[in-house]
Amino acid sequence: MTDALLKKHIVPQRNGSDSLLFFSVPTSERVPQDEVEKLLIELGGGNTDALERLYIKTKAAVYGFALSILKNPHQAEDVLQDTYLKIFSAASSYTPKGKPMAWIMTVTKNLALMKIREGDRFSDLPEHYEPSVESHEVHFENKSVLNAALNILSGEESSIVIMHAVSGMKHREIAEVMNLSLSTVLSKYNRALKKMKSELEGVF
Amino acid sequence: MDGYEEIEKRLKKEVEDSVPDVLDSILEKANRKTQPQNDNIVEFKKPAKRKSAVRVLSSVAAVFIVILIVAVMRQSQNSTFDVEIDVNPGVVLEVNTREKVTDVVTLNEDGEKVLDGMDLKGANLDVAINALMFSIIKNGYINEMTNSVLVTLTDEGGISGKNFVSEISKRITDSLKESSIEGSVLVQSADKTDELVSLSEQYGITVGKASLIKHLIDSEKTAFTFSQLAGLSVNELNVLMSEQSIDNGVTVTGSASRKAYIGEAAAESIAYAAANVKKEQVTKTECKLDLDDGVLAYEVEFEAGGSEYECDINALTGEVLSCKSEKENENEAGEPEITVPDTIVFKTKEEIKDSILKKNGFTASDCRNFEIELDYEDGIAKYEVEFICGETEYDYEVNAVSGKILSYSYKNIPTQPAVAERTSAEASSEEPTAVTSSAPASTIAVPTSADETKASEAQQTMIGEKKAKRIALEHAGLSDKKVKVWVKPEIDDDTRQRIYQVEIEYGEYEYEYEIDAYTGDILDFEKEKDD
Repeated sequence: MTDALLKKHIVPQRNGSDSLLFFSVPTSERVPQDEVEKLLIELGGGNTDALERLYIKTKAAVYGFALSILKNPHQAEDVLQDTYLKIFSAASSYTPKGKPMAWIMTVTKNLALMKIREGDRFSDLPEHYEPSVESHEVHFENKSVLNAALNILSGEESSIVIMHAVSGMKHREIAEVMNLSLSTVLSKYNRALKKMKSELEGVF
Repeated sequence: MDGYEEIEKRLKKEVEDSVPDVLDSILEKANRKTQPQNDNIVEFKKPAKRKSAVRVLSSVAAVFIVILIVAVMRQSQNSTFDVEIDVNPGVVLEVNTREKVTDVVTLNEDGEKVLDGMDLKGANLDVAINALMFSIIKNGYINEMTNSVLVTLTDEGGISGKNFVSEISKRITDSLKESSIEGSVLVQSADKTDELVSLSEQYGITVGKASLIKHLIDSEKTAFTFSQLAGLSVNELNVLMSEQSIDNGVTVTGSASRKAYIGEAAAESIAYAAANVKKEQVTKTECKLDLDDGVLAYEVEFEAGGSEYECDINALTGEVLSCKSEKENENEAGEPEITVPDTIVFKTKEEIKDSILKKNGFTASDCRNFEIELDYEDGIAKYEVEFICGETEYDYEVNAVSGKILSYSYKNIPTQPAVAERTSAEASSEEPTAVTSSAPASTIAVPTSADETKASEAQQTMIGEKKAKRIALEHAGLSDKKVKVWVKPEIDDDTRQRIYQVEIEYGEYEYEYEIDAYTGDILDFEKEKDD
């Protein structure tokens, strides 16, 4: 961002005065929470068309988060489906408090954890994320960022990074979903991106 | 190699590209869910009442799509059984004593769908039931999540009838098993009293279900009401019955599916987190499913650090519905209370409401739309309080234990006529808000420095731009010598929380921080390479 651009939307610092005008600047590329909330309310009120729109808006965030917990694309796909079915049946119990993404992510988390418990009973979880066979997206360096995030980061780290990147949720909201303190999320986030950066050195 | 921003962008793109397309399947399943309620009810009736039963049931069916299997049994002169299997999808099977199906009648369109052109005439009853159950499962009326079937014998069916019921129940269980579904079959007998009939008509449920619910509310262990339970599915009723260990003369084989629920372990850890208690501190836990405001919830009761907690967790979503704590051994003989750090006693919502109103010089009648919710952020229990007085909407965050105001904001919400009546002079200048301050209309709360002081009887001190700048620099590991820094107070789009936005330019990198204006917490940060 250039200086000129910055000056456009940043108020110059005034000497020592703490209480100034409060501006509201749109944040970049986030899943628009108010729209998501509206869709949830519509869905809760019985408008089933809202499900499709909600899915389109939030599927990447849900899938990414599920994948970060499960590290298995097939199970994550199941959780993706289950999440929307659960949202569909539970939307009427959603109380609007401006945190629709956190709510959706909580549903996703719980379903993913259930999946793990099921998995504990029947099979071992794969330790590494294997890209699904159908995936034709082979990256030139054969080093996908997603692979790196899932393989070199700890479970919590990859959840934090993926949620932050894909859903654009704030660290504070992520902390809430993951039942961690904000400072833990911040330090994990920092550490994770440092790891990613060194792992991916030379890829870009 | 670019900064974090580039990694996140790539990650986002890769996740977006790899999302499998499951929309059609979701919509199809969701659609199916709106069709039947997955209530699987088997009723037995004497043929004398057959006609009226069918009439009642089909009128019920018109309103609620309920699976209903009615079997009418008759020991007639020529000793044949008449078995009506009415799945709403309704299908009637007439069966003779050798348990051969002599006739098949469908009662409605759904029945046609379930029968699906099958010719069951001449088949053995168990074969016919198998086929019908298979079709019922295939059409999604019974699945892993909802596996309960209620078999009701209304009127006195006699001993042979009872045997018959249990035989049918076994067959249903078996055919569910064949589809790898662990079924749970509830068998009960019920007198078709006027009360039950009128309840069933009132709530649009079958007599069998009405009877089951009546047993549940008659139990001394529970304080449910009929209307609370009428909305639940047979599976949910089955879950409740076993959780509350209610013995109401219903024979249950198998257990109700809880696959739709998050599970006790998950509920417990959510409850601990909500109460800000570590698992190791917990000395005693009890967790059971119960009904909370018509929603199935895990009621988690536990003790930690000398306090008793009770949290209700939505069984479907894991949402915290409520959480309260109580000190053990309350105030013995006027002994001064010792505050143990682990002990948490929350202020009540009423106390919080009163104190905020008092601070603003309002009474409850001046204000409306109160919303007070307990929330947990960063390990602190707080109340989020919202209300409207006059034309101003207030938003407070209050520490739930100390009652201290953590943050607040307010905004003008001009009512339509008020806007229309404003003179042009007023409209062009700053409009007065209800809090003696001025703020641009229709924007987010914008207190000026003057009313900041005035309104901050709540001992609110913002950390100041210098400190915000220092916090950001410290976190980024930079000294302020080589950097350009911009600091700007702002209000968060989503939370209406007051923050400082700090932007730092360092060489070719740019950092962006959001810092809580009161606590100095870093709420969000991003680092990117300058293009």
